[in-house]
Amino acid sequence: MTPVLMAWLEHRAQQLARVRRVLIEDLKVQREPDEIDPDAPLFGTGLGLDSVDAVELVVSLETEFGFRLDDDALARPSMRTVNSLVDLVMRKTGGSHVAP
Amino acid sequence: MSLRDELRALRTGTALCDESATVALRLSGAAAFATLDRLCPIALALQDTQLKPTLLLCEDGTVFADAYVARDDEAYFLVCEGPSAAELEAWVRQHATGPELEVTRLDGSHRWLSVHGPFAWDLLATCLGGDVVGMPYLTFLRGASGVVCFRAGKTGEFGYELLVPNAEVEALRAGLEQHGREWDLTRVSLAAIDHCALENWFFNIRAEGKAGLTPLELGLQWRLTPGKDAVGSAAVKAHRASARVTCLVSEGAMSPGDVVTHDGAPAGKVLAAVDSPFVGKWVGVVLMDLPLAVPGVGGFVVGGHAARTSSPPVINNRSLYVSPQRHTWADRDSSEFPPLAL
Amino acid sequence: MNRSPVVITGQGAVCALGLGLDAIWAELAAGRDGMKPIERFSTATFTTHLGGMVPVPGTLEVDDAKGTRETCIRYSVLAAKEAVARAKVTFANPRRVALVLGTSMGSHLGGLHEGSAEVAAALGIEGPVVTVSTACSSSTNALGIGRDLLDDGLADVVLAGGADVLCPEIFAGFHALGLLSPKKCSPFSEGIGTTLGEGAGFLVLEREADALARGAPFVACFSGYALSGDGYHATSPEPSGAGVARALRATLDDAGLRAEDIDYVNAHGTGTAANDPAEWLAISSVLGSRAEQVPVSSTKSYLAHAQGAAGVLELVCSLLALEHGQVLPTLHFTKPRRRGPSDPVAQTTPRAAKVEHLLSNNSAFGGANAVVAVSKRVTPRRAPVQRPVYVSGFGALLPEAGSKRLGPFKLEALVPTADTRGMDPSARALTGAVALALGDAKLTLSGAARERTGLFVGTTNASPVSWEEFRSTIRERGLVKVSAPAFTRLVLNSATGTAARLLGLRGPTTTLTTGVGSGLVAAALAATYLSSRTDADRLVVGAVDEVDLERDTGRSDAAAALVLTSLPTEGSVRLAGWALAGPRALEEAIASACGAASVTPAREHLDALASGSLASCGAAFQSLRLGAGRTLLVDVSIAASCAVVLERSDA
Repeated sequence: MTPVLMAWLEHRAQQLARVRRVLIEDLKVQREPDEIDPDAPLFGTGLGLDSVDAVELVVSLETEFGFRLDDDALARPSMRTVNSLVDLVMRKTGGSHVAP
Repeated sequence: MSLRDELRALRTGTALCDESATVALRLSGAAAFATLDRLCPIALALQDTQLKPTLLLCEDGTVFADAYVARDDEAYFLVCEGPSAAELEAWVRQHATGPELEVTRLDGSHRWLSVHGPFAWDLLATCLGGDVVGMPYLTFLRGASGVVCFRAGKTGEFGYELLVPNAEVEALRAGLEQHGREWDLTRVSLAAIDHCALENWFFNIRAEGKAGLTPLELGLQWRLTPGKDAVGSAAVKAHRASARVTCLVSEGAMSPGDVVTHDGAPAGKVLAAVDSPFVGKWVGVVLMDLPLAVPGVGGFVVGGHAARTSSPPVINNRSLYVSPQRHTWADRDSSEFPPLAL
Repeated sequence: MNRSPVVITGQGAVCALGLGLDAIWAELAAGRDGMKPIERFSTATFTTHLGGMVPVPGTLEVDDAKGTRETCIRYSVLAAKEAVARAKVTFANPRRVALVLGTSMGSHLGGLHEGSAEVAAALGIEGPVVTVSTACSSSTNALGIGRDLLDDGLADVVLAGGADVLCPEIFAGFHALGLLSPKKCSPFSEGIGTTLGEGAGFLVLEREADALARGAPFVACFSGYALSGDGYHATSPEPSGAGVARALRATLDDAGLRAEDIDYVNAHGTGTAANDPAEWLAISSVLGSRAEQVPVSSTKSYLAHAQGAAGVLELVCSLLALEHGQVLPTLHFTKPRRRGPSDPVAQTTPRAAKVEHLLSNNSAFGGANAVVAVSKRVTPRRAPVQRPVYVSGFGALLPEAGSKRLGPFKLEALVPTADTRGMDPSARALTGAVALALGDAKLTLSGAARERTGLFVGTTNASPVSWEEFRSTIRERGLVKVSAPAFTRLVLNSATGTAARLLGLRGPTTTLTTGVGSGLVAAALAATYLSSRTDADRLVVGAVDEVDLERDTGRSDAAAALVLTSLPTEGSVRLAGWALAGPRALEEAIASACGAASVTPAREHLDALASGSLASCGAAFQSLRLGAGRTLLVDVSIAASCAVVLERSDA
C-alpha cells in the first residue's frame, strides 16, 4: 500500500466517521458508529430512514460538511447507502470517491 | 431465452419467476411472538402487515438463514431462505418459549411465485386489485383466495413474492401470463434473480451465505438490533471481524474461491460473482481484509485481471424513478430514465 | 339523551377569499382563488412563495408567536361574530352556550385552550370551551363534538369551527416535508403538492326544536359525523384509504344515510401525492358505483389549505354553494391524475346541481380522520342508542414522590413491537400509559377489534423537547432548513397518533385541550361517543403532560390512560355520569353528572395539568374494584368544568 493510498484511506475513514455521527445524532439512528455497516441501505430497509428523514438528512449533511446540495441531492444514487453518502461527501469536499 | 434477456426483462420490463428457494412457516398462539423474539436478533417492531428483514443465527453467531418476519395481526409469517422447511420448523420448536405455539408449515399447501420489474405493480394490479399499487416496501397484502402478496423483492426493482395456495397457482399464473402480454412479461429463472440480487447487493444465503460468516463480515449488522438478546447474538457481540464483504468490479471473469491481491499480496477471496451486462464488467462479492474493505480503491488483481472496489449497488435501478402514482407502463417510453449502470 | 336533529342556524368565515360570507361567495362564484405570493413574511429562500392569506387591511405582526396568537384570536372573533349575527341568536343564558374550536397550531403560545378562552370571552360565551387539535382535521372534528354537546344536553347553542394562521414556522415545516407545490395547488390533477392558507370559520349549531321555537334562520341540517384513525404513519395517509373509508361509512351510518343518498363530496383534496389517491380509494370504496356519478371537488383549490380551519371553511363554502343550488369546482384542473374522482367538477366556476345530502372529509397528520354529513333539509334521526360505559383498565406513568419528571422507563418492555426511534417524551409516556391500561384490561386486540377501538387524548402542549429541537434547528440552520421530523411532532395530536399507531388502535381518535383537566374532559367526551354510537366498542382515554420546567414550575410530568368499553366487563366499574360546563359553572357540571346520588369528594390531585384528574380517575377505578360506592371526580380550568361519576355496580 502506497503512502498516498494510506492517506486517502485515512481521510475516507474520517469522513465515514462523520457521516455515522450525523446519522446517530441528527437522524436518531440508535446504533454505535461501528454498528453502522458502511454498505447498509439508508431508506426503507437497512437503517430504516423514511421520507420525512430524507430532507433532514440532506440538511444535516450540508450543515456538517459545509457544502450545498441542490435539489438533485435527493437524487437517488447518492442516497442509497452509508458508503454512497461518503462518496458524495468525498466528491463535494474537493476530493474524490476514487482513490488515487 | 438467454440470461441476458431475462436480466433485461427484470430491469426494464416485467418478469415472472416460479422457481423459489423460499420456505415459510406461520406462527400463532400466545407464545408466537416471544418465540420469534428469541430467534430473531432484530427487535420485532412491526405494525400489522409489516415485514422486517433479519437473519437466523447459529449459537456461534454465524448466519444460517436469510429471513423476514411478517406480522399478520396477532400471527406471524417466518419466511426464510437457507434451511429446509423441516429444519426451520425444528429450529423454531426447539426454541419455543411456551406451549401455546402453533407452527404451520406452508410448503405443502402453498407455492411461491414472484413478479419483478419497474412496472411489476402495474401488472399485478390487474390480478390482485388496485391496492397493490400503493403498497409500501416491506409490507404485505391479503389478496383474494388466500393469496398473500409480500412486497419484498431482492433485485432492486419492484418485487413481489406471492404465497399462493396450491389450488390457486394455475389460475394466478395463467392470469398473470395473459395480462402479462401487455407488459411484455418474461419468464425468468432463479439464477436471473440471484444475478440481480448481487448487482444490488442483496444478501444471498446460497452464495456468500454459505461461507459460514457472521453478520459482521457480511455487513449485515443492520439486520440485528444492538443489545438484543437472541440466539447467536452473544457470539456476534463477542466476535471481532478481520474482513468484510466488499463489492469488487473486475475487467475479467472471477469465480468463487479466487484470491484477490493488492500490490501482490493477498487481500481477499471471491465469494460470488456475476458478469453484469449493464455494467459491462464482472461484479463480485469479495471477503476483503478490513483495511482494504473500502470502495473506490484500485490496484486489485483477481483472475489475472485488474479490479477496483466500488460502492454497491452498481445499478441505477429504473424502479427508483418510477412512481406508481404517476407513471404507467403505457407511457414508459415517454419517460426518460437515466442509464442503468452507475 | 336528547336526539333532536341538530341544525345550522348561522355561519361566519374569514379566509383567503375574503372577510365574511358575502365577500367569500363573490370569489367562489367568479371562480377566483385566493392564492397569492405571500407578503406577510419573506419566502425568498424557499422554493415556493404562494399562500392563501386572509386579506386583512393594515399590517399584521406575525413575526413571533405572540403576533400569531393574536391574529388567530382576531380571525376567530371575526368569524364567530358573523356566525352569531347571521344566526340572530342572543345568549339568554351564556352558560348554556359552548365553544368548540379546532386548531392545528393557532395560538400555541401559552396553550391552545387559552386562546379559545379569549375567543369565548370576546363573544360572551360562558359555557364549556373545548379546543380540538388534530392538525388538518381539527375543525371538522370540532363540529362533531359540538353536535355531541347538544345531544348530551350540555349546551343549547354551540359555536363550532376552527382557526389557524399561516406563520413562517408552519410554512417552513410543510416546506421541509416536501409537501408544498411551487404553483397553486391543483387537487386531483397534475401539479403535486399543496398550498398553505389560513383563516377561521364557525357554525352556530342548535337543536331543531330550540331553533324553531325562536324562529331562527335555517342554513342546513347537521346530519352526522364520525372519526377514525389510520394508525399508519405520522404524516402520510394509509395508501389504501381504509382509515378514511371507515370514517365515511360510520358517518353515513350516524346520519342514517346510504351511498345513494349522497349528492356531493367535498374532499380533503390537498393536492399532495399521498392524499389524493388514497382519499379517492376511500370514497370509491364506500360509495361504490355511486362514486362514479357524484361530483367530488376540493375547495383547497380556492382558498388553499387552511390547516385546522380547513374543515369548517370548506363546509361553509359548500353550504354557500348549496344555498345557490350549486356545487363548487376543483380549480386549476388540467389532466387528471392516474387515480382520482370520475367527476372532480373540473371547471372554472360553480356548476348547478341538486344536492340534498353532502359529505365533507378531512384527514390529518397522525392519521386523524373526520367526516361530517350535512343535509339541505332536516333529516329525522334514528332512535337513540344508549349503551353503558364501563371502565375496564387503567394505566399510568407518574413521577417518583418529590420529583417533577417522569423517570426513565423501557417502552420496549411495555410495547415489544414498538420502534421507538425519534419518539419524544410525550409520545413515549402516552404510549406507555395506554399500553399499561390495555394490559390492565387484559386486552389483546386483533383484526376488526382494532378498528373499533379508538383513542381520545387530553393534553395541553406538544412536547417541549420537540419544540426545542424544532427551534434549535431554526437557530442553527435557518428557517429554510428546519427539521421536518421535529415539525411533525409539534401538532398537539402527534403523541396520540404515535400511540395509536404503535398499539394498532384504528377506531375513532381525537386530541383536545381545556387546560387543567383535559384528560377528564376527554373521558367525558369519549363516554358520550361510546354511549351514543355503534362504530366503536372501546375508547381508550389518555392524558399526558410533559412540562417545560422553566415555565411551569408548579407542575409535573405524568401520563395516564383509562380503557372505556361498552362491552360488558368483569369487575364492572361504570362511568355512571359525566358532564361539561363553563369554567365558572362547576356546580352545574356536578349536578348534571351526579343526579341525586350521594358523592364522595375527589381525591387529592397531582400537580399535573391534563392528566391529574385522569390519574385520580384511575386510582378511583382501582379502589372501586375492591369496594362498593361512587366517586366523583372534578376538574376546572379557565375553559371548562368537568365532572365524572364512577360507580361500582354490584349486581
